[in-house]
Amino acid sequence: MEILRITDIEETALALKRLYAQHGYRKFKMSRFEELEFYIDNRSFLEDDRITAFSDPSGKLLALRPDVTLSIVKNAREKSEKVYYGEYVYRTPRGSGTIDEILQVGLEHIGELDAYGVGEVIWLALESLHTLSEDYILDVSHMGLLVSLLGGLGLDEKVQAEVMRCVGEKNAHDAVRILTSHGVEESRAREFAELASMSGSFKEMLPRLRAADVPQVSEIADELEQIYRTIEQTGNGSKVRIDLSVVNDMIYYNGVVFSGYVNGVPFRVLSGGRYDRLLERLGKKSGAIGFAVYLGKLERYVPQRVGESGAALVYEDGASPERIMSEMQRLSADGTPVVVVREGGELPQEAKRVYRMGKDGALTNA
Amino acid sequence: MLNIALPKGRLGEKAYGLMERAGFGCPEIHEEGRKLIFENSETGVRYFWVKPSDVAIYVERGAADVGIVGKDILLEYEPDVYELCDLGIGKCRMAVAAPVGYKDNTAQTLRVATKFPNIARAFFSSRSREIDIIKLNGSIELAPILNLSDILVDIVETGTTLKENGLEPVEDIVQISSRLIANKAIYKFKIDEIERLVQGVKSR
Repeated sequence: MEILRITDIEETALALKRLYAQHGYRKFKMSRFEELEFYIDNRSFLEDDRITAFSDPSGKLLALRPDVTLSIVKNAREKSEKVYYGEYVYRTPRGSGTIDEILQVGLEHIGELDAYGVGEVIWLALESLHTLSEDYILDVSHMGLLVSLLGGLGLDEKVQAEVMRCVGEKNAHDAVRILTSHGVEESRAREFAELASMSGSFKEMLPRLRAADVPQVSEIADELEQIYRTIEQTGNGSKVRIDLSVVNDMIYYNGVVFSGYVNGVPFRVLSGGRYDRLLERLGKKSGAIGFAVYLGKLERYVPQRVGESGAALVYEDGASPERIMSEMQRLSADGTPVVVVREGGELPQEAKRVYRMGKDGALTNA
Repeated sequence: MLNIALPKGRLGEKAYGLMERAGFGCPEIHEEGRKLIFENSETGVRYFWVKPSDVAIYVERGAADVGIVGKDILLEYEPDVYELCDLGIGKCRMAVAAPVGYKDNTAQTLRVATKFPNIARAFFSSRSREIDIIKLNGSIELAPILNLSDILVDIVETGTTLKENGLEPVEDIVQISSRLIANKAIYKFKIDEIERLVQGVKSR
């Protein structure tokens, strides 16, 4: 089975953008550069904190955009705003000295968010994954739960960050070690690690979550259940799972967070979540949720299709250009891809039919 | 089929032993020869030997579904993988070592020889100590002896090599052992097989 069912990245970008536009999201076009200071101030929102900076002719320090959400939020009005984008971001992968240009398509919903608004964004995330493949999974977690879990343990910010890292790695052994070395009782540390490594279907996980002794767990479970009910009735119930190892930065994310995967692609292809706290930090009082699909990273997984109806027109030296042109147009009139090759040239592999034109202009089907 | 990257060497063999006892054996692996990949369709596993420091790359990029790797490599390269289980083998520690009787001159930048620049940098930066990292690929003990560095950061098992060269461990940075890691995306679609392996290995 092929990994992806798309045939072209650019066409997929268009299809996704059409999907978002169909549901009331409007296009947001932005500059490739922002002032460096803007990213430095919000560094921990970025997935990767390496930023490519340069100075403009006036000496102002600019950065190649490493992220799209920050720019959208900066420009957003506080009232309801639904936008989508298809933009390149610039990142330096770990262990690499080069800058990657990655096409990212996604959307943001900023404004007063209700349960439907959140459900709609998660459904669009699922639809985006479905555009890429038949076999996909969206893992969902809730930052409120992890914050609430960690909050009761009396740890400082640095230790909390270390523990969160372990949660993101499903690393229960080191989480317990860190917690106990900072004065948390072993039984409590184990309870935390067990809860934090939970993953499974909503139906299986929700009762386990409700049974946990965590402040606000019932409100959070209600919110997750509502999301599930909304998604379930779209027929996507088996494609969403609760996995508490989906973690984003606690400074910015406060509600539901999610990651999307496609069978056969060895990395996350979609990432999103609710980030009201980022708006708060930028002096805006509003809810916000969004996601990005990392389309640019999928190029090598796009199946190389061999056209079944392709044709080649091979002409002998001396055949008249106008005759070749007229035959090429006739053969391709129904949309068939036709490649014109001079005698002795290389025939394309996908050519299923080969026509030969002699110097007198006569055509034969070889 | 579960693709498993094993680190070449004693530790990898020990780790394979754990997996074999957990029901994921592949008898072919014991055969002498130059073969790099070993498969057992009955138990549904495919093993391959790679350089220990490369295991995390194979797993992070999905060439292997799971792998066995030292915590030192995970701390140094910070791959984006799941760390599912501490195998409790290959135990040692990452430590700062110096010539016997060495006294740190805080008026100068500290010269640190190591194979693990990120771990060393993070450790000394938490102490706000300015350092000059000298990245070496082996025989780290030589560096302070030849005055290439003041101290070193390296893995210490028994401390015998240090002692024989007039060096001593000064401070432990972190305890090290072998971990079972998994590719995050592959885990989603092979969750049953991978969890069966994890539980099998844990119960050994």
